[in-house]
Amino acid sequence: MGAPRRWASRLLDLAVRRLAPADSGWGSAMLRELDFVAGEWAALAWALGGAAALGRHFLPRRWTLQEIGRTTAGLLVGVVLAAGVLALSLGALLRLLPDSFAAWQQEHAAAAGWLTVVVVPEIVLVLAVASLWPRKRSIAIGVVLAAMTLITHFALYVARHGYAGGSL
Amino acid sequence: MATQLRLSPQTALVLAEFLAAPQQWQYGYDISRSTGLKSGTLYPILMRLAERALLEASWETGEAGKPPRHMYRLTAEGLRYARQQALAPATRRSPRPALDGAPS
Repeated sequence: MGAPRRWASRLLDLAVRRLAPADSGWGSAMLRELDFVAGEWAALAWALGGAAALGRHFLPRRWTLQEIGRTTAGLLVGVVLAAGVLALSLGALLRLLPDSFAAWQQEHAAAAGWLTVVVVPEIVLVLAVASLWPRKRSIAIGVVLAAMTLITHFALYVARHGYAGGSL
Repeated sequence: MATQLRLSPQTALVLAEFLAAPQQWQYGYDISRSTGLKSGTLYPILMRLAERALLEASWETGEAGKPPRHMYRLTAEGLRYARQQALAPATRRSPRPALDGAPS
């Protein structure tokens, strides 16, 4: 069995697994027919078409408009929640640092900056994701997206300006 | 129920293929080869026909140790519907090969 046929088999198998058990018969049928398709690339084309057909036919049943709306709203709530945490953290630490840790802040300006805008918010976001994941997954995914955006921004900034560039 | 089925040229091809051998069970890949329809077009048609009880599907009890194949044929209602649509095999379009290098 060549690579294209292997990919084809994996692709269809993956598609079948995503279906509800009651709907998986059609996917299994396509998967079985794959053994009779002559030609490696033809097998891949068969699998691609089959997976697309399964998606078009069965996904609309599972992803109703209401479900899509609920998931999107959850994601947005998660992102807003994360932005709120970041703003709160920034505000609180900007007030706290000069008042309580002025000497430390002056000595470690870069560390204080990153602590304020990255470390503390990321810790809060990770804790939020851990607590939201079992019950409110779409919100948790929104928080994860925001946290990943923040950490990516941090990584790019450090790569470009260096660690000390983050001083406030 | 059958009147809700959108009779596209591709659906007409599939119905004509079944009409050519009304009592015979047919495999998906064989239908694909003889109609020239690719899997992404053929299977949605088969699914819609089955949902409207125009097509029945069955798992073939093949050789031991080999997984079964899915087979299809028109139900009595499906046959009636196909004939009503005047889809005689002689009127269908000439088939194109669905996939290169199909086995004989």
